[in-house]
Amino acid sequence: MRAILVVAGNTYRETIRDKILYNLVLFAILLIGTSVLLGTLTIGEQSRIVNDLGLAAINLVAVIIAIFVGIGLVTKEMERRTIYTILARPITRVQFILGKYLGLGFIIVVNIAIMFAMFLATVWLSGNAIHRSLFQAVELILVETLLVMAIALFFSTFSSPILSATMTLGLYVIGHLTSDLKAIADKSQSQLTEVVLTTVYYVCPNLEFMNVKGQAASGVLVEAVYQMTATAYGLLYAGLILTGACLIFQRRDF
Amino acid sequence: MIGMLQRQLLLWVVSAVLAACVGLLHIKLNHWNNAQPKLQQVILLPSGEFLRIASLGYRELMADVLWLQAIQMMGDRTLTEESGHRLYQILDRITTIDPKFVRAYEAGSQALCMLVVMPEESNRLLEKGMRHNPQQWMLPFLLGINYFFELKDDAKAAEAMAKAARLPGAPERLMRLSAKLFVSAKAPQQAVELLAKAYEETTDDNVRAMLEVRLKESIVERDIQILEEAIRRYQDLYSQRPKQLQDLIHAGVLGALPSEPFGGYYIYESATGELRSSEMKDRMRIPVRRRGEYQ
Repeated sequence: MRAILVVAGNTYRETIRDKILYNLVLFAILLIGTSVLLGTLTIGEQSRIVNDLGLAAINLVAVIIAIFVGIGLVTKEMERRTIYTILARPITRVQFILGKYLGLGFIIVVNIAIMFAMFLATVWLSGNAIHRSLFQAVELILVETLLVMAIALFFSTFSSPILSATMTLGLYVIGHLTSDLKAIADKSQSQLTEVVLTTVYYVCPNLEFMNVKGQAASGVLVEAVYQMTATAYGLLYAGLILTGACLIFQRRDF
Repeated sequence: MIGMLQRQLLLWVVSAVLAACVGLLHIKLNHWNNAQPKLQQVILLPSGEFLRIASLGYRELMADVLWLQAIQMMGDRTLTEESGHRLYQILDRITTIDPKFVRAYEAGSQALCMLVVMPEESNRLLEKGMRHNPQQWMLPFLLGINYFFELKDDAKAAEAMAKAARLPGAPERLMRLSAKLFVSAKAPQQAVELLAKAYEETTDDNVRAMLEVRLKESIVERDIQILEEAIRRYQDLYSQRPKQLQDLIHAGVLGALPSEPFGGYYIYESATGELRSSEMKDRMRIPVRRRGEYQ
């Protein structure tokens, strides 16, 4: 466990040194700027627009960090040859992968926490009510981001950064469309289409389970049991993908 | 080596357990989502104007994604009125994001009449489509269908059909259909004007020949209406029907008898008051039943 925490700590420090927190400036501009601008375009829906934009911006920035930092976690160490010095120490490959994941996970948690605080301040300053549903949405955004991060890490254990980013983005898009794919499969006349789409539906992660932004922006709470089930689903799926990443990484020849 | 194999085995076992747990949770969440009405999520969508801006240039893509969802909703054979309103909301948003999405207007307006009886909303959608796509003949045509079958407003149906008939690509028979509708709406003069204009503009000899016949039929309908009106005024003056059509001229309620355009004459049955052309077997009528007229 100590080895995992050491790797995680190093990953955290390294990522912070890469000025990852600069993204918060982008987030602030995106959130505050567009909230003020678009808020004026609407009548009576300003609170909802601010909520929609805030949650979308948090989600977008967090997923971008998860993908583009996640794909570099392992490959960067390999390119710099620092992986040899790390693995020469009493650190197993599984511990290395888990440590890397934990380190970036912590960065994500800190980022989302700061963005959420800025978002709540914007909501409060614009004179709108802060609903409990916003907390639910952000919690599930965090779970979704952790899952996307695991996917990025998984691909980076066996492919190049560009390919990893492309595949992760692809899976992210599919993850949000699987419900529609299932509906199309149910109504499809072709048996082959039905089988293929149903398989895609059950094999790919369904990220829509963790998407309650629409309800949250309208102040509609989701049931606590659903929240917990979706959280468990996301985290267990991330665990499954990480296990796969460990299995592949163990077989790699350095 | 043995330690390595043990670790591998452990990882495989962990993977299998996690996969089983994920599978179970997937099914549970799936049941949860399926229990929610498909249309319920639509109410949570922001306005179309906002979505249009938020799509960041991917307007067509966003409209397509929403359209796919709308199609899933339309997959149900019938909808409640509440679901119908939500369907209208999503169609309105789709067409606000991408006002050129002609298919959404066409299929959406039909679903609003077939799956749930909401002709006013259906017409609103079609009128919006006509504003943004003035060259699409199908939209005013569907509007005419709605006015005729759903709202039983023949005059507006005829106007919409006439508009559709004048657009490029519209089938030639639309012109005849709109003429029939004008006749049905007791406005045969408009049918005559419409067909006369179409006759002048058409260069195809076959089409001209067909339009000529339809134009003459409309003139017959207009003449019969004029004669009926004159008979009514005669009855008001003399409290009885005229014996023959010439009596209308002698009584001063009609200047001259109209000439039958096919070269025939108008037959008048004084006993029943029935009027018809010697050359036309059937009157211009649309032999269909509309909503609410089915047994």
